[in-house]
Amino acid sequence: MKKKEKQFWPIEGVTRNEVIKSQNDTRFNFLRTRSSRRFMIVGLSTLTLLVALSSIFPPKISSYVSSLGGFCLLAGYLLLRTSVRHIADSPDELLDERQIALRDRSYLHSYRIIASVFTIILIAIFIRIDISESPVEILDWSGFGIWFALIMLMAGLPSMVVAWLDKGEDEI
Amino acid sequence: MLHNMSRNQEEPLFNRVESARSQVGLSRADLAKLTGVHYQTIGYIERGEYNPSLALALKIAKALSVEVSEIFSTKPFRKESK
Repeated sequence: MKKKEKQFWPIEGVTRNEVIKSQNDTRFNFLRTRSSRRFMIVGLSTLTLLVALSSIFPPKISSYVSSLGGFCLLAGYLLLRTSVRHIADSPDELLDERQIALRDRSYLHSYRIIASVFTIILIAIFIRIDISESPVEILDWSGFGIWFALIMLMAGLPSMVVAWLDKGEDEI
Repeated sequence: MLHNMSRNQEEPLFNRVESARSQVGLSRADLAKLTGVHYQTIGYIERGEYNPSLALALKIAKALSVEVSEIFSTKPFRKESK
Protein backbone atom coordinates (compact mmCIF):
# COMPACT_ATOMS: atom_id res chain seq x y z
CA MET A 1 0.00 0.00 0.00
CA LYS A 2 1.33 3.41 -0.97
CA LYS A 3 2.16 5.56 2.00
CA LYS A 4 0.35 8.93 2.03
CA GLU A 5 2.68 11.82 1.40
CA LYS A 6 3.13 14.21 4.24
CA GLN A 7 1.85 17.55 3.02
CA PHE A 8 3.35 20.60 4.68
CA TRP A 9 2.62 24.27 4.15
CA PRO A 10 5.79 26.13 5.18
CA ILE A 11 4.26 29.60 5.40
CA GLU A 12 1.39 28.45 7.57
CA GLY A 13 3.61 26.05 9.50
CA VAL A 14 1.13 23.18 9.55
CA THR A 15 0.85 19.74 8.04
CA ARG A 16 -2.30 18.38 6.40
CA ASN A 17 -2.72 15.67 9.05
CA GLU A 18 -2.23 18.14 11.86
CA VAL A 19 -5.12 20.30 10.60
CA ILE A 20 -7.46 17.40 9.83
CA LYS A 21 -6.79 15.90 13.26
CA SER A 22 -7.36 19.26 14.90
CA GLN A 23 -10.70 19.82 13.10
CA ASN A 24 -12.16 16.65 14.63
CA ASP A 25 -10.38 16.79 17.96
CA THR A 26 -12.44 16.69 21.14
CA ARG A 27 -9.63 16.16 23.69
CA PHE A 28 -8.89 19.85 24.09
CA ASN A 29 -12.46 21.12 24.15
CA PHE A 30 -11.79 22.79 27.50
CA LEU A 31 -9.53 25.18 25.57
CA ARG A 32 -12.32 26.01 23.13
CA THR A 33 -14.77 27.69 25.48
CA ARG A 34 -15.22 31.44 25.22
CA SER A 35 -13.76 32.05 28.68
CA SER A 36 -10.66 29.90 27.96
CA ARG A 37 -10.06 31.73 24.70
CA ARG A 38 -10.46 35.16 26.28
CA PHE A 39 -8.13 34.13 29.13
CA MET A 40 -5.47 32.96 26.65
CA ILE A 41 -5.76 36.18 24.61
CA VAL A 42 -5.35 38.39 27.68
CA GLY A 43 -2.52 36.17 28.98
CA LEU A 44 -0.65 36.16 25.68
CA SER A 45 -1.04 39.92 25.22
CA THR A 46 0.29 40.56 28.72
CA LEU A 47 3.20 38.14 28.20
CA THR A 48 4.06 39.72 24.84
CA LEU A 49 4.19 43.14 26.45
CA LEU A 50 6.23 41.82 29.37
CA VAL A 51 8.77 40.09 27.11
CA ALA A 52 8.96 43.15 24.84
CA LEU A 53 9.70 45.40 27.80
CA SER A 54 12.01 42.92 29.58
CA SER A 55 15.07 45.05 28.79
CA ILE A 56 13.88 47.79 31.12
CA PHE A 57 14.38 45.49 34.12
CA PRO A 58 17.78 45.02 35.80
CA PRO A 59 19.97 42.59 33.72
CA LYS A 60 19.45 39.49 35.87
CA ILE A 61 15.66 39.91 36.14
CA SER A 62 15.54 40.86 32.48
CA SER A 63 17.11 37.56 31.40
CA TYR A 64 14.66 35.60 33.58
CA VAL A 65 11.69 37.56 32.27
CA SER A 66 12.70 37.21 28.63
CA SER A 67 13.59 33.49 28.80
CA LEU A 68 10.73 32.32 31.04
CA GLY A 69 8.25 34.73 29.44
CA GLY A 70 9.45 33.68 25.99
CA PHE A 71 8.93 30.01 26.80
CA CYS A 72 5.42 30.69 28.20
CA LEU A 73 4.64 32.78 25.13
CA LEU A 74 5.64 29.94 22.82
CA ALA A 75 3.62 27.40 24.84
CA GLY A 76 0.61 29.74 24.93
CA TYR A 77 0.82 30.27 21.19
CA LEU A 78 0.72 26.51 20.57
CA LEU A 79 -2.25 26.10 22.92
CA LEU A 80 -4.10 28.96 21.20
CA ARG A 81 -3.55 27.36 17.80
CA THR A 82 -5.05 24.16 19.17
CA SER A 83 -7.95 26.12 20.66
CA VAL A 84 -8.92 27.61 17.29
CA ARG A 85 -8.30 24.34 15.44
CA HIS A 86 -5.46 25.87 13.38
CA ILE A 87 -8.02 27.96 11.43
CA ALA A 88 -5.69 30.95 11.18
CA ASP A 89 -2.83 28.84 9.84
CA SER A 90 -4.65 26.50 7.46
CA PRO A 91 -4.84 26.69 3.68
CA ASP A 92 -8.21 27.01 1.91
CA GLU A 93 -8.47 23.33 0.96
CA LEU A 94 -8.68 22.22 4.59
CA LEU A 95 -11.30 24.73 5.75
CA ASP A 96 -14.99 25.24 5.04
CA GLU A 97 -16.43 28.51 3.73
CA ARG A 98 -17.23 29.99 7.18
CA GLN A 99 -13.76 29.15 8.46
CA ILE A 100 -12.17 30.71 5.37
CA ALA A 101 -14.22 33.89 5.88
CA LEU A 102 -13.26 33.93 9.56
CA ARG A 103 -9.57 33.40 8.77
CA ASP A 104 -9.59 36.14 6.13
CA ARG A 105 -11.31 38.58 8.48
CA SER A 106 -8.79 37.77 11.19
CA TYR A 107 -5.90 38.60 8.85
CA LEU A 108 -7.50 41.96 8.01
CA HIS A 109 -7.73 42.87 11.72
CA SER A 110 -4.25 41.46 12.38
CA TYR A 111 -2.77 43.56 9.60
CA ARG A 112 -4.31 46.69 11.07
CA ILE A 113 -3.06 45.88 14.57
CA ILE A 114 0.45 44.99 13.35
CA ALA A 115 0.58 48.14 11.22
CA SER A 116 -0.36 50.23 14.26
CA VAL A 117 2.23 48.51 16.48
CA PHE A 118 5.00 49.00 13.91
CA THR A 119 4.01 52.62 13.38
CA ILE A 120 4.31 53.26 17.11
CA ILE A 121 7.68 51.47 17.25
CA LEU A 122 9.01 53.38 14.26
CA ILE A 123 7.87 56.68 15.73
CA ALA A 124 9.55 55.72 19.03
CA ILE A 125 12.80 54.86 17.20
CA PHE A 126 12.73 58.12 15.26
CA ILE A 127 12.12 60.14 18.42
CA ARG A 128 14.96 58.31 20.14
CA ILE A 129 17.32 58.91 17.23
CA ASP A 130 16.33 62.53 17.29
CA ILE A 131 17.01 62.88 21.02
CA SER A 132 20.21 60.85 21.34
CA GLU A 133 21.52 61.25 17.80
CA SER A 134 23.08 57.85 18.26
CA PRO A 135 21.40 55.04 16.35
CA VAL A 136 23.74 52.52 18.02
CA GLU A 137 21.85 52.90 21.28
CA ILE A 138 18.76 51.55 19.58
CA LEU A 139 20.44 48.16 19.53
CA ASP A 140 20.68 48.23 23.34
CA TRP A 141 17.14 49.45 23.68
CA SER A 142 15.78 46.76 21.36
CA GLY A 143 17.26 43.64 22.84
CA PHE A 144 16.28 40.03 22.35
CA GLY A 145 12.98 40.46 24.18
CA ILE A 146 11.42 42.99 21.87
CA TRP A 147 12.39 41.10 18.71
CA PHE A 148 11.10 37.82 20.08
CA ALA A 149 7.88 39.48 21.25
CA LEU A 150 7.38 41.06 17.82
CA ILE A 151 7.98 37.76 16.01
CA MET A 152 5.54 35.98 18.33
CA LEU A 153 3.02 38.79 17.88
CA MET A 154 3.20 38.47 14.10
CA ALA A 155 2.90 34.67 14.29
CA GLY A 156 0.20 34.52 16.93
CA LEU A 157 -1.98 37.52 16.22
CA PRO A 158 -4.18 35.90 13.54
CA SER A 159 -4.98 33.02 15.93
CA MET A 160 -5.68 35.53 18.71
CA VAL A 161 -8.10 37.41 16.48
CA VAL A 162 -9.81 34.17 15.40
CA ALA A 163 -10.17 33.22 19.07
CA TRP A 164 -11.68 36.62 19.78
CA LEU A 165 -14.11 36.62 16.83
CA ASP A 166 -15.17 32.98 16.97
CA LYS A 167 -17.74 32.05 19.52
CA GLY A 168 -16.61 29.56 22.11
CA GLU A 169 -17.64 26.05 21.14
CA ASP A 170 -19.57 25.75 24.39
CA GLU A 171 -22.01 28.33 23.02
CA ILE A 172 -22.79 26.55 19.75
CA MET B 1 -29.26 55.07 -9.56
CA LEU B 2 -26.58 53.18 -7.66
CA HIS B 3 -27.59 50.32 -5.43
CA ASN B 4 -25.93 49.77 -2.10
CA MET B 5 -23.76 46.68 -2.61
CA SER B 6 -22.25 46.57 0.87
CA ARG B 7 -22.43 43.13 2.45
CA ASN B 8 -22.98 44.81 5.79
CA GLN B 9 -26.35 45.97 4.61
CA GLU B 10 -27.53 42.52 3.54
CA GLU B 11 -30.98 41.39 4.51
CA PRO B 12 -31.27 38.85 7.28
CA LEU B 13 -31.69 35.26 6.15
CA PHE B 14 -34.11 33.09 8.08
CA ASN B 15 -33.82 29.34 8.20
CA ARG B 16 -35.34 26.25 9.70
CA VAL B 17 -32.43 23.92 9.22
CA GLU B 18 -32.58 22.75 12.84
CA SER B 19 -36.20 21.55 12.65
CA ALA B 20 -35.68 19.96 9.21
CA ARG B 21 -32.57 18.21 10.53
CA SER B 22 -34.41 16.93 13.59
CA GLN B 23 -37.23 15.63 11.38
CA VAL B 24 -34.85 13.40 9.43
CA GLY B 25 -33.04 12.38 12.60
CA LEU B 26 -29.62 13.74 11.77
CA SER B 27 -27.18 15.21 14.25
CA ARG B 28 -25.18 18.35 13.49
CA ALA B 29 -22.12 16.19 12.99
CA ASP B 30 -24.01 13.97 10.50
CA LEU B 31 -25.25 16.95 8.51
CA ALA B 32 -21.78 18.50 8.62
CA LYS B 33 -20.30 15.29 7.24
CA LEU B 34 -22.89 15.12 4.45
CA THR B 35 -22.29 18.72 3.42
CA GLY B 36 -18.52 18.76 3.90
CA VAL B 37 -18.33 21.49 6.53
CA HIS B 38 -17.35 21.63 10.19
CA TYR B 39 -20.14 20.84 12.66
CA GLN B 40 -19.65 24.25 14.25
CA THR B 41 -20.61 25.84 10.93
CA ILE B 42 -23.96 24.01 10.99
CA GLY B 43 -24.52 25.42 14.49
CA TYR B 44 -23.80 28.94 13.27
CA ILE B 45 -26.22 28.52 10.34
CA GLU B 46 -28.97 27.14 12.57
CA ARG B 47 -28.64 30.08 14.92
CA GLY B 48 -28.76 32.51 12.00
CA GLU B 49 -25.28 33.79 12.79
CA TYR B 50 -23.82 32.77 9.47
CA ASN B 51 -25.47 32.95 6.06
CA PRO B 52 -24.26 30.08 3.89
CA SER B 53 -23.30 30.44 0.25
CA LEU B 54 -25.85 29.29 -2.32
CA ALA B 55 -23.77 26.16 -2.97
CA LEU B 56 -23.79 25.22 0.73
CA ALA B 57 -27.50 26.03 1.09
CA LEU B 58 -28.22 23.69 -1.84
CA LYS B 59 -26.04 20.98 -0.30
CA ILE B 60 -27.88 21.28 3.02
CA ALA B 61 -31.26 21.13 1.27
CA LYS B 62 -30.16 18.05 -0.66
CA ALA B 63 -28.89 16.34 2.49
CA LEU B 64 -32.21 17.03 4.23
CA SER B 65 -34.23 16.01 1.12
CA VAL B 66 -36.08 19.31 0.92
CA GLU B 67 -36.19 22.27 -1.45
CA VAL B 68 -33.84 25.10 -0.53
CA SER B 69 -36.81 27.49 -0.29
CA GLU B 70 -38.32 25.26 2.40
CA ILE B 71 -35.44 25.85 4.77
CA PHE B 72 -34.07 29.27 3.78
CA SER B 73 -36.05 32.46 3.32
CA THR B 74 -35.57 36.21 3.48
CA LYS B 75 -38.86 36.40 5.40
CA PRO B 76 -39.49 34.81 8.81
CA PHE B 77 -41.06 31.36 8.72
CA ARG B 78 -44.43 30.82 10.33
CA LYS B 79 -44.19 28.88 13.56
CA GLU B 80 -44.82 25.21 12.97
CA SER B 81 -47.80 23.66 14.78
CA LYS B 82 -46.84 20.67 16.88
